[in-house]
Amino acid sequence: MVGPFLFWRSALVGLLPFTVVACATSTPTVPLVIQSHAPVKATATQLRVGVLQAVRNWADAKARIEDVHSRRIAEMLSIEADIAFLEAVSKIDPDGASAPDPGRLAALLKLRPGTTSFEEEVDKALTLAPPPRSSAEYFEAIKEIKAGFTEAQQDSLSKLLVDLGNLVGRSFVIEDDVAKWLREQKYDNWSDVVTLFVRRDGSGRVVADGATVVATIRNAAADLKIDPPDQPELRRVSARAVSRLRHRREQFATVDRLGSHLLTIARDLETYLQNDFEAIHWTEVGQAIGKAEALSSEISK
Amino acid sequence: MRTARVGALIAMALVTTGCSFFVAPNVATAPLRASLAAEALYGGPLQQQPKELARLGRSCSGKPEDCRFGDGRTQQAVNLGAVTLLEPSKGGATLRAPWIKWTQLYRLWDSVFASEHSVQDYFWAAGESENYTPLFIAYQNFAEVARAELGLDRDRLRAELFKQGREVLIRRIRALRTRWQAAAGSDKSALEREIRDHLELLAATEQRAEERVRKLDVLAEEEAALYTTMADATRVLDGLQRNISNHLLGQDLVLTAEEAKELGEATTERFKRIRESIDAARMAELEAQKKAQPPEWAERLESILQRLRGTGGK
Repeated sequence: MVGPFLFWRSALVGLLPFTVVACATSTPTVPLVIQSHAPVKATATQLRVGVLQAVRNWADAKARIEDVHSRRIAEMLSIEADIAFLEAVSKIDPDGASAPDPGRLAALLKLRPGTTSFEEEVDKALTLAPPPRSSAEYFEAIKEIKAGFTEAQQDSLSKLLVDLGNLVGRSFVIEDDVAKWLREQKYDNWSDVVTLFVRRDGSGRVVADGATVVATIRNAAADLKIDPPDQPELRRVSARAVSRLRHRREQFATVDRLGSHLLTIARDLETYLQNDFEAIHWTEVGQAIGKAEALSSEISK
Repeated sequence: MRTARVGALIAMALVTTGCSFFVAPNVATAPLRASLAAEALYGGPLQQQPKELARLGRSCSGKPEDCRFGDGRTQQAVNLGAVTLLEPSKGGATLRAPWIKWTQLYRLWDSVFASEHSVQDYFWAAGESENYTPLFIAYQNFAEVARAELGLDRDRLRAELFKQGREVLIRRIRALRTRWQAAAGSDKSALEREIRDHLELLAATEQRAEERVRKLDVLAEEEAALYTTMADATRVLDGLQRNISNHLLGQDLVLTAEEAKELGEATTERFKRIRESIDAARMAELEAQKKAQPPEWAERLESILQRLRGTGGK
């Protein structure tokens, strides 16, 4: 009995150094699949830099897309205004003698302009549209003339400020507040307001939009006896376009989040592939993937 | 005696396996899982992604051999076996006890305990669902919608413009014809020329309406070009991501660093051109607005008239 026991004990003692040597160098995080990440170290960096650049490009593209949408709506409104003008002319001007704006009609239909008298020329010059001004400047101009307002006009102005405050969800006490808000939102012209502004309630329902804001100002302008915003009225085609473009821009937030998750994964993978095991936080990658799961089907065609 | 035997067996197992008991779960699965999930975030379901990056966004479900993971079961088994069965212990052995590699004893351990993982195990479930829209598809959809929706608006506006313009001209022609019928001599021929001019204008009404709405095309194209460029950039990033996944799967890389760099630079150049085009159009509009302002003398004249009216009132 003693012989075999001694054999096993000696065997154990003999093997123990090997075991210790074998285990002493082991670490809890040994890459078992790939021994060297050298082939893709540069790729990982390239990917991380590329995703970062893509996120920046997208941020820049979004700003330009907003600008393009605004210009597109402005152009559509202008075309619709021309259509409305032609419709009005066709009803009241069978012989061309009493057209409301002969210059505009001539430009639209390429009619040969008739000879104009000096008086007509002066009238035409005086009835030209005032120089274009930004939406903020419109309210600053009200400030300059409001000293001469009658009591009724003052009341209309106060009502306008309250109505706008309710639409926008802020409190406007004086016209400068509105001008400040417009500048904050970077709405340079009325087309920006119509195209870009929208306010929703907690359930995501549209409470107010830019068209309503401009319509409210237009209605108040008649009472205030001032020029309305130099923006044609929203008609059916442009109203639908505003709604569609808004729907598209709403989906940009999901694209932003996709970019953010990809950036997280690219950063963590780069850290991992550079063999800096201690710096990696796989739980964060897991969270990023988990968040990405929630994005499913949020972007619709 | 029995205790001693157990101890000896444990010691033997430790020696022959290179301490596999004490090695943490294979951490390579975490980056691989993350990398494959990122691929799904870029390009959509991995099982439907085409092998060719240029075809990203089109489903390869019809032809399995064209799919990113469309290899047959045998080929998959060979690839995965090479990665998960042979390489792991080889790597571990090299790091810990070289003699384990020399003796090839790890193969004994692996044959009993190593398990083969399918690539599908690493797939991100949500990214495989059909209703999930990844980044590339999102940009592509935006570009398609931007181009398609314009047609509806433009055609409607063009038709309305044509209809109303035509209406004005027809009414004018009718009025001219009435005058022409009543006129005589030189007046008649002058009116005839005028009617002919109007008829020419009438014939060109549709073309003018088309020209009027053409600017909308340019604007839609500017927007669509931004989305298309973003989508193409996504394709390059997906290629780089594939490189990393393939590296972790022990497969060949799909995009060289030089190719990716060239494609990245091309994207930057495209963005630059689009930005310049948008900025130029914006500037042109501002210039046109400035030109539309009344001449300076009109303002002066108006102020003089106001002054005169004021004086007259008193």
